[in-house]
Amino acid sequence: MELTHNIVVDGRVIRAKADTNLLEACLSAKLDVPYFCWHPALGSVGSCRQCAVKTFRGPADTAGQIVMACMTPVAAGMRVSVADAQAAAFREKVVEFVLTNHPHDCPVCEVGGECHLQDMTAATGHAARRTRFAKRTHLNQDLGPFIKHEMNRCIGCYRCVRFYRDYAGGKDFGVFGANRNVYFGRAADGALESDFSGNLVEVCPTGVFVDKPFSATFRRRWDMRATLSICPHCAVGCNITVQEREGTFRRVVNRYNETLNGYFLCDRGRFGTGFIESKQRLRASRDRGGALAHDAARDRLAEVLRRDDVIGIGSGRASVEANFLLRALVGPENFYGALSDQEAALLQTAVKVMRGTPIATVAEAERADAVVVLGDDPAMAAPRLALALRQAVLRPPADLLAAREIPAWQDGAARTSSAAHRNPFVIVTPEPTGLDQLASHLFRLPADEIAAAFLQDGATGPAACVSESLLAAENPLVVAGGSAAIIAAAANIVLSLRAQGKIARLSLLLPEANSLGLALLRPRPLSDALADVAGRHVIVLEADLHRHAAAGDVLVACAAAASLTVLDHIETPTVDAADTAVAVGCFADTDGTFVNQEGRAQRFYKAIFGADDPPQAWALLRDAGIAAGRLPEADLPTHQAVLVALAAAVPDLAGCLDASPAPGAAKPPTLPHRYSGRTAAHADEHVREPAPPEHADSPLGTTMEGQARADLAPLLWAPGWNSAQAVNKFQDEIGGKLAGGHEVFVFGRPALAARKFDIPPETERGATLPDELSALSPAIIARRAAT
Amino acid sequence: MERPLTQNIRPGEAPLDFAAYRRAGGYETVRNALGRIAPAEIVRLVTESGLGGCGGGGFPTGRKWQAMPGREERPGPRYFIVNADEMEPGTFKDRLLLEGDPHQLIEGVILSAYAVQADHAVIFIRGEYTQAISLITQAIAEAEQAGLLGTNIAGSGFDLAVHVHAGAGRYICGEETALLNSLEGRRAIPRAKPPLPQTSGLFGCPTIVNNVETVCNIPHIVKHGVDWYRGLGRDGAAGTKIFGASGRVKYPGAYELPMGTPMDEMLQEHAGGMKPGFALRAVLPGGASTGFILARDCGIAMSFAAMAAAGNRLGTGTAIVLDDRTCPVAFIANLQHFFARESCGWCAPCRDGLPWIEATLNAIEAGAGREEDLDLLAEMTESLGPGRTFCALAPGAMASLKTGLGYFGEDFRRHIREKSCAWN
Repeated sequence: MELTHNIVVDGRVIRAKADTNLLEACLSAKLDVPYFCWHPALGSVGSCRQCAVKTFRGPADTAGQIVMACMTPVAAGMRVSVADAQAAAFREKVVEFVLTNHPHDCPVCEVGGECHLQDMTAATGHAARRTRFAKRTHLNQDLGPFIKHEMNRCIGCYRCVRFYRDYAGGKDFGVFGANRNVYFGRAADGALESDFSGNLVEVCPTGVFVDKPFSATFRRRWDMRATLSICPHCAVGCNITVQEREGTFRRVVNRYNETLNGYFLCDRGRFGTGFIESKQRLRASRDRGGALAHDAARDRLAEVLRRDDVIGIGSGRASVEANFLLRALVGPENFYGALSDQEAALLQTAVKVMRGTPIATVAEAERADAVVVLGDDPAMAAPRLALALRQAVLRPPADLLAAREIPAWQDGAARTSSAAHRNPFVIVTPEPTGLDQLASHLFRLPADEIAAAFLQDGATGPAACVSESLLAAENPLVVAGGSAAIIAAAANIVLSLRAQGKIARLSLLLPEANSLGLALLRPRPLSDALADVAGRHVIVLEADLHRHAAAGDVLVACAAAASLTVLDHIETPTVDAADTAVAVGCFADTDGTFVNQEGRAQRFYKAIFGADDPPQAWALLRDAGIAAGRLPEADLPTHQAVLVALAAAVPDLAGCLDASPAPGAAKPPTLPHRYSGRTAAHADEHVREPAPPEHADSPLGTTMEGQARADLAPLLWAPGWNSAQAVNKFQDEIGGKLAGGHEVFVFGRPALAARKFDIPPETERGATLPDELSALSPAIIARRAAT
Repeated sequence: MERPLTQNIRPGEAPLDFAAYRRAGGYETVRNALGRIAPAEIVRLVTESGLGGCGGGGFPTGRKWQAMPGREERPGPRYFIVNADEMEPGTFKDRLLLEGDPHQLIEGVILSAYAVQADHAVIFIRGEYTQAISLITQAIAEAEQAGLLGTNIAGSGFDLAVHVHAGAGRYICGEETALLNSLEGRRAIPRAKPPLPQTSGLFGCPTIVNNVETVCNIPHIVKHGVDWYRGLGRDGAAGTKIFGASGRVKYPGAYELPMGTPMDEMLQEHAGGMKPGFALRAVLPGGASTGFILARDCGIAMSFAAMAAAGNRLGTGTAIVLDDRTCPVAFIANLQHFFARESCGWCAPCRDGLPWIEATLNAIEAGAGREEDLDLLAEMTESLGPGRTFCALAPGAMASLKTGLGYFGEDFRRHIREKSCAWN
């Protein structure tokens, strides 16, 4: 039970957590208190003076005292006024102050309409400019392909630099100058180096840092369709919102999930999704003779499926549904995964381990008090997890703060007082990692020696160091990846810590967005397929075989196969080699489910509606299967029916059905209510209201009509809160659960394994490849070129 | 009249070197006190002496020290910092002590650090005080040579290392928590209080920050005792204080006088009154961050308590004199220019309010003022007042503006009415 206090705000009693501040308490109670410098994940520093409220010393105190709510600890029986005239007048003055230099360029600002500064200005009632003097102006910098810089808009809240440096550990961005001339930027022009720079867009309360690729195809927030989705660029599966208009992808913004990505995304996630508009997209099917219409491509696939000798190769970047349908069509014995032997062994062991080891959510990882990384680099494999690990390592210990009487939310004091402190952080990897600078103990071991190092209980070396670090902690975390042996060894460490009473957890680094979903369909490894492909018809689902096998082996196999049919949404060497290349939708064009590295089943929805969208892979496979007689006529009529069949056929993946909201009669809208210009957009041809796209397979509607649901709301919006900060209004408390949030983990809460896991033999390791999809994003390509 | 703080200072002469300082009785107290008098006893003496922070705050030094957690409670490094970043406009008293008697400061540092059981001391000196930096550095070397700094000082078992840090030139570094940030290599912005530096100061460790003059008082209090010290003051105040005057007085300078000396007595008897042809209009009693005192009110005693009772602050005790041939609007505009420039840029009202005030005052001075400007300025003195801004810089800046608007309102209105400055 958390200690709570009753406090009285403007005569109303609210419950407030005892260890919080007045601003969070008021916002948690859904009261409106304006703020700038406070951020739920960054804590309080008291710089902007915007959240001024009045507190009263006792019943007799009528004058009260103006305090900053964000810097005032909640106390039992506290009496507070937000509405107090003096406090309200001061809040208006603060807005007036920060607007003295603001350019008021809202009509040409990308953030206009979703601007926290606009919201706060309106909230305080500030309506007329009184200064008549020259504004200070700044030169902007070229911050690289991701972020556009507009320093004149800056109101000096310091959030950017606090996020970039303090929270994300960036070093190449800071605050320069003093007085009204403070400048937030780099020492010189150049691409921002942090892997999390894109968060500046959402952290900035106004338009200083703008999503640059979005700026080039900009539409107002309310003029874009917004659809919940899951980031496809690594196995963390951060929750995102995809925005589009006229069938064109516009941008990705963070979708708050308190146990996963919270308020932040990595740059690969935010800017990698630009691959959707890449020239490397495969939007039309073809065979060796030329282009094929979508229907013809489906017929061609059906033809292949009529043969006896068909094998299917699924992948970790395709959805569970598409993989499941491919497996259903070719039969489980003919279903392979685009997985190297190493990946196959790793995933097999991951599945085994996850059935008997507590797996940490990203949020749980962030709360760990000792961390061990084994075998792989989280900064590469799972950037958002790496950001969480950084918070875990740097979090000031409670006893240190208590000795100094510093509340954990008082960010400046907590950080300066504990600047020298690090929670234990042991890294044991073959290669340098992006987190090495934070490590308390660093071991470079060849990959095939890491698991072995934990088999014997030596008094020195990594095993001794790890056990010493973890045994001193209460909530230790082991992060493991790279090979089956390493993750089995890591799981055994967690089990033995559990046996010693520690709340130990494991976090696994897996290769692709849906690696676990694929693994639970029990595919055979790719090498088996390649060895046995002669004379058989091969269907490859959303995979480039070259990434998972030696080029020679793939070429020989392709030549030996009777035919090669590749379903994909990007051009790859495998697509090039195909007899028939069948275009299918990418994650943003389709409905589907990914199972992330925590075992979390997450649904994504068709988010972009273009004129000639390729079919969804799962639907195409179904239709071709029916045409080929491999599925009964009228079987699996809907996406929901596929999930029902999946749950029956593969109990391990039954969670996918649970994770998908049942389609209701009144579907939640995906267009904001102010979606404008519908009839004007094509006025050169006609002024008809365009017919809404038809899409039956999603529980989401395609229009602005329908029954809104907080958990499926395209954009979180509340009256007076037009920016991303509106999320405050939909949480059970600040930083807490999102209304209607529903989490499904395919393994649930597994019981601890009764005995330790066998350590499988080490397999040969392939080179770690960068994420396939984001590497095609123009912004990511430009960013790589800038370094 | 005893002048303990300046007893060794002879205008025009070099300061006492180590040998001369010893001959004058210097460092005797260190030898007598370290290891012989309990640190807590020194804290008690300082508390009872009534010594207040001479940087301008006047906060009781003993009480500040008492808030430092004990060694047992908080093991690890402990710091004693001397704030010698004297940048208050019109203030030059610390410079006199730094350049005039550097060993007095070092002796004060040793005794103070011993009292609070600090093992490291830092003297943070304004960067432009190059002479003081070299003199203090030399004094430290001499004291180390004599075994008065370092390990096991004078056989007492007490260790102390003293470092000199030259400030890089921001007024805000005089604010004790901004000073700490600067010392740590961070931006010189103030820190939120709580936590106080005593519990989370330099590098998060227990830390005391005291002004130069405050520290220079310590050897004398320890040597001569509480009663002697209290007896030095007038009008219920304790000790002596280095007061000063700048502006159109005959003998501008710094003078060590009993705490509680009336302002007019200092101006007449020590500053020699106004220069011929100039009449006294008002004074800022203790630097740019204090409020005006009109000529007619200059009978006020210069002590922290008396000034506070009058709604003003003693500040640094070095007065800036406003005469009748200086435009008060231009005078105040110049002060606001300083504060606007020296705002660290951390909090919105200070960062964006002060330049607005400065521009408004300049407009009035240039004859472009508007009637509503006076309401705006009056409103600003509230919006940038105590509790509204993050630290005391802006409220300090508002002291002269608020009192100036009250006392010289007609001068402001005349500028606006006549669209020009009558002093130009």
